[in-house]
Amino acid sequence: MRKKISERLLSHWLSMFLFLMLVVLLIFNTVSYLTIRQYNGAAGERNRGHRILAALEGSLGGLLAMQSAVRGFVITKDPSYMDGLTQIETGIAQDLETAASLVILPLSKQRYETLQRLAAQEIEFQKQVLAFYERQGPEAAEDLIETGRGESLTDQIQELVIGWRLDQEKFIAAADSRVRRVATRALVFLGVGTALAACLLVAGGLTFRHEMAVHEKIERELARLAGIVSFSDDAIISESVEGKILTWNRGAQQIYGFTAEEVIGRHISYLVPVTHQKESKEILERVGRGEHLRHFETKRMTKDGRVIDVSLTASPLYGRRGRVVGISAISHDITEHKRMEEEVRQAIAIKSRFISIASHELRSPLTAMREGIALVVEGLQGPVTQGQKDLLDVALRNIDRLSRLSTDILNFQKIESGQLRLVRTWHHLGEIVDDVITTVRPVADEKKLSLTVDVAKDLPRVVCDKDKVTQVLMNLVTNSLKFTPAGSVHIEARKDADALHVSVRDSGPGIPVRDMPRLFQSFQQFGAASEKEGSGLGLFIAKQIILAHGGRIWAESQAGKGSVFHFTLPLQSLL
Amino acid sequence: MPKVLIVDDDMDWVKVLAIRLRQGGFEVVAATDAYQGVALVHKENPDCIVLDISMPAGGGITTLRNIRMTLHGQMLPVIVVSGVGDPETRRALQEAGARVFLSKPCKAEDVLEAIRKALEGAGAA
Repeated sequence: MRKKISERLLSHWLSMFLFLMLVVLLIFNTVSYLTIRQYNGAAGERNRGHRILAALEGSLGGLLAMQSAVRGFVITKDPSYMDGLTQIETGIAQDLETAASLVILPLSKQRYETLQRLAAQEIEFQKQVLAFYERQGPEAAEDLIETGRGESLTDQIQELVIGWRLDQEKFIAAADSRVRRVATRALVFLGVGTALAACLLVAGGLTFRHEMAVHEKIERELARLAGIVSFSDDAIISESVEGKILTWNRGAQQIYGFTAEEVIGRHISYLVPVTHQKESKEILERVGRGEHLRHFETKRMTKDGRVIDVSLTASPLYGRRGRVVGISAISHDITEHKRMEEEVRQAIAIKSRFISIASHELRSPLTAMREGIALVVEGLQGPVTQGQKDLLDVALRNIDRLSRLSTDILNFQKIESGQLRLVRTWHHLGEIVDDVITTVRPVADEKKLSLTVDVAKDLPRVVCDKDKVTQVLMNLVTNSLKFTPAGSVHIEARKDADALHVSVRDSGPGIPVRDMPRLFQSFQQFGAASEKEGSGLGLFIAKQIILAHGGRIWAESQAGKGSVFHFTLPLQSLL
Repeated sequence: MPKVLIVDDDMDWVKVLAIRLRQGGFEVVAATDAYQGVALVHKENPDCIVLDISMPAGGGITTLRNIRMTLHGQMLPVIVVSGVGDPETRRALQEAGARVFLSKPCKAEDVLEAIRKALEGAGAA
């Protein structure tokens, strides 16, 4: 896998350069070969021309030497002239032979034949002169030289040789220029070729260096990834599409207990408990089709037979052609997490049950207590003195307080566990306000507070849970009455754009700015120590009830000028 | 004098409620479990029942269904008084014929008021 990636990247550009280099080298070699052949041809021509020329000069020189020697001997009768004659003749023959072996062109062949003929005649003539000298004496030989055709033969030969030599020289000059041209071309070509090769070499080298750098980077990255995989606490396993385990990291060994040697090559179902075999097969099929699986909670089995909870993330691995060629599976051991989750869940359930039971069980005895004391206070069981009555009233007040506390806690528990359910039907808000006023009127009277109500005449009916909304309004009004030592509490209900708006205004001391943000939070108590007799849950519960209705609840306050609590109930509420 | 049957396992509550109801002009009989309750419906022919939901030996719903099966109990007005008030239980009780629901803690006067209303309705019917 690693090797493949690096090889592929490395070969891409580099192989192109190598191929180009090869092509250039081939062209270079071919052209070089052709040039050398051309050069050799031209040089050979030139060489041949020179050699022919030398042979011609040689044979002409020989003939002239022979003529001079014969003439010298005839005139001076000095036999020493005759010494090299045979040698000269042999030289002429040799030169002619050389020329014969060199001539190729038809014109040269023709000239050669003429030369050969003329040279033979010349030699024949000189021998004739010598024969005359032997038989008829020097005068006859001299006459023959004067009158014979020796001179004209020599002239003919000279003329022929000069003409030939001129042509030969031209030929040589042409060959020379060809040699020079080829040499120049070869030089230029050599220069260009070398420059091109150098460029390619440099480019190739740079590409190679770049690719090596990329390669190294990939290697480093792979090493880093390999490090992450191998040191991960999660089990990172790669499988074939069929589910055969291909790689196995240290995390897998830690979680499942198997070493890589023990599981590589086995089917992944080897790690799956019997109960989850079918599911595992489905996962394999789905991921094989290209689906991704994220944080799927399932069960796996370890080497020692323990069934553990794992969170499984499985993804398809794609090949070069975009086909799924394998699967990567990362599993995280969540057994401990699950256990703790279960513990927390149980703890919460126990707490809820405890609160529920405690509140319920508190309520029944409170009811009986209250009723029993009320019977006594009312004098149904005989006369009661004022002192006794006062003390029994204290008991009754505290029973009511305990009762309210237990109700608050029960409501809070319901809200917290999401069990706040509304029984919603159509109601007139005015009725709810009246109910509350009737209940709290005695308290207001006792404190000598003015309790006033302003409910708009044509208020539409609203869908709500009557008991719960009554509870909210009761809470707000009781709070106002409690915190207002003297003055008034005013309840107002009117219709806004799309909601009914209820407000409770008091002339109390107001709420300090620092308390405002915590007003609707749970277990918050405000006011002086003597006033802290509630659960600190009232406004929190009120807020939750209004929110459940889709309404809003808020407060405004100015120190020394009193507070206003508002809530709304939407008119377009869904049943 | 109209007769009221209280079915509730809280003896103290039964005691104070009985005093209150007697004072209010009713004859009171009480049962502290479901079996006794059903038996008393048959034996005492009460005019109204005040029923608690959570009790040993059968919950309020079962008790109510059993009462409804007796000849006399078929049309009896039933007032449920309980600390449990979840909507499901309420619906089940309503289906079994409970007319009025009061949640504990409630005042004995509220129970008295509810009984009077229920009997007026029954009388009118």
